[in-house]
Amino acid sequence: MIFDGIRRLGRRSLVVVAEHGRIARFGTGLLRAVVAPPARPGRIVQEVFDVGVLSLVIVCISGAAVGMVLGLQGYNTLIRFGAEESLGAVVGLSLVRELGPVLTGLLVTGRAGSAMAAEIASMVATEQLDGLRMMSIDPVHLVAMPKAVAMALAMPLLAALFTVCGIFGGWVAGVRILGVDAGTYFSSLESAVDFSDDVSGSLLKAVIFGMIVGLIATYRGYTSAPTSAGVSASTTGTVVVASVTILISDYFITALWGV
Amino acid sequence: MQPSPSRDLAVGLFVLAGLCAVAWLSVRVGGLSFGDADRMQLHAAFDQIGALKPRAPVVIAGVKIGQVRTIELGNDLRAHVTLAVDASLKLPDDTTAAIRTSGLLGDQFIALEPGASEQDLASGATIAFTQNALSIESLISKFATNLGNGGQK
Amino acid sequence: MFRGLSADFERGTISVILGGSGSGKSTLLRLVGGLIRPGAGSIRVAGEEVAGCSASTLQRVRRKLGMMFQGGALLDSLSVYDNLALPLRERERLSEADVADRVRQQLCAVGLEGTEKLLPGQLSGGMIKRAALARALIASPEILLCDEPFSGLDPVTVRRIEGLLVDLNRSRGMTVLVASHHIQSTLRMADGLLMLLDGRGISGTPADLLACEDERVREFLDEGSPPGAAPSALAGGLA
Repeated sequence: MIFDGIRRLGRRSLVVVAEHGRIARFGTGLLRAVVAPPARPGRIVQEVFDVGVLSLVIVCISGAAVGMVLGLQGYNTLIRFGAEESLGAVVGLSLVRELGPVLTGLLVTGRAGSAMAAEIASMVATEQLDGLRMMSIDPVHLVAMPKAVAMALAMPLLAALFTVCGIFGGWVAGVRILGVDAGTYFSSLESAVDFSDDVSGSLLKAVIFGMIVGLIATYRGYTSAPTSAGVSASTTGTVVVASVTILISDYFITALWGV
Repeated sequence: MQPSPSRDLAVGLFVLAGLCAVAWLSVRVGGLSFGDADRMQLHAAFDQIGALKPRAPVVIAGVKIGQVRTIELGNDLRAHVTLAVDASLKLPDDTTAAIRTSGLLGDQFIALEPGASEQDLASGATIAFTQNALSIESLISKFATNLGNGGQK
Repeated sequence: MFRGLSADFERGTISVILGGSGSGKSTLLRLVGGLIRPGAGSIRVAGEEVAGCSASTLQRVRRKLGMMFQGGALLDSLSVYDNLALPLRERERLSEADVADRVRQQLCAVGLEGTEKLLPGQLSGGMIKRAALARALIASPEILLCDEPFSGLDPVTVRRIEGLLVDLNRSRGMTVLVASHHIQSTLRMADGLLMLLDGRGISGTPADLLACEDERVREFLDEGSPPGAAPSALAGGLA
């Protein structure tokens, strides 16, 4: 009975460790594909369109909504201490340091990461990747690499747009609706947010999250079972694993680099 | 891959918008500067700067004209503050630099009060007249002692 | 899946792997293409061992192979033209004009002129099969592997693809290996047959298998061709 449990635990741990090994191997292959010619700019542009342009609307709307909520909540809390002139700092710092990159990462995972995994998985199911292998074309280079690169490129841009929309949303809620002085809002924002401490860290986080989502989405799609159940499993798997990984790695990036 | 001009255009606009957002966050919000072409540096020494931080605004008559660049402790054990202000300004050399607080609990900033001298401050000059930060704690304790003394009399 | 299976498919012939669903026809083709590695045993393609070979050997062998997949396996984000041009652009240093020439030629050969700009999703089943065949042939392979080239097609298209395969074999001497359960076309064109039954194989010429005493082989072959019609179909295939 006890031995059975231990045996099962051991087997499960081995599965988990082996999965990490496979992701690492896939990631190295992906990196090698990035530097190996040809660079495939046409496909990368196509993927940036799918990831970036098609996620633009939800990212901007979500950013503005989050900014407005921050403006409202921040104002209601700060007014108790008579410190509502710090509203810009509260909204700006929360957006730049945390909410911008993290929420963008989660949104893009749901919007584009899942679609990415589903597309590759259905290519597996319809033997398209095997077709490429038979033509001596590396599917990682042709299919997975442009998607992962586009994800890492588009994520910081989307996160920056999210943050800008959020600052604008905070301005709408705080200045236009609740009557904080516009000059105070922006000067508090500008003196609180620093490039080397906050903005660069924000961009770093967004790039890392983009790499995480790109790697997990392409890996999950690439290794999916060639069935329709495999396609749906790889899609949900991507959303769950990528979201949790983003949140956990956010803690570690913050703790290690203090951003 | 079929070339598609409208898709390329959309991607181009997206990248441009994203880069503009990055640039706005870095330069305007984050205060990233590439050299100080139109800024001049002024120095000022204070005995007490309170909670003044780098990048705090420098204002004249309430209008922002620059910001605090560095704060260092000098050999004379005073706080030496470097300000970067708009180079087009003509500041008399008897200008006073005062550390003020916005509101009761707000951030601290430096207010410049121009004097009446004919001579202007050049870039790199030191502002001779400074006013230290007022600490609320010391104000309150002074006030409390005064009250106590008054009660005894 | 297979146990003690041994089969030879001769150079320059059309060989057909027969068997019911799940008998391992596709698996056998994938083993030949190196898409699946066998647990044990040996697979030799064009004189090279592909079971457990290195990646570079596999690349070399695959250059001699063209494979037509059951569902076409065309990239559905690319037009028919780009699908056919892909292996040429990726593997060979050809000018765009030469690529266009080869693609047009190959599309003509399978009767798909005018579909260049269409996406695979806009094609009918028969057209997809023909486009897949065109893509398998575009790099002039020595050996053509076809996974169920006739499934789900109308008799006219079956005849057409069958004619193409026979023509490739007779005029260019291409080795053709087909996995199929389409009995009539098999009996018409096959030089050699491999019948898969429970992981074992029974091989021989079509005449051998028609004369076979095994109950299950008879049952399988009879389903496609009533006993009276079989000899004439065979004669047509060998003519």
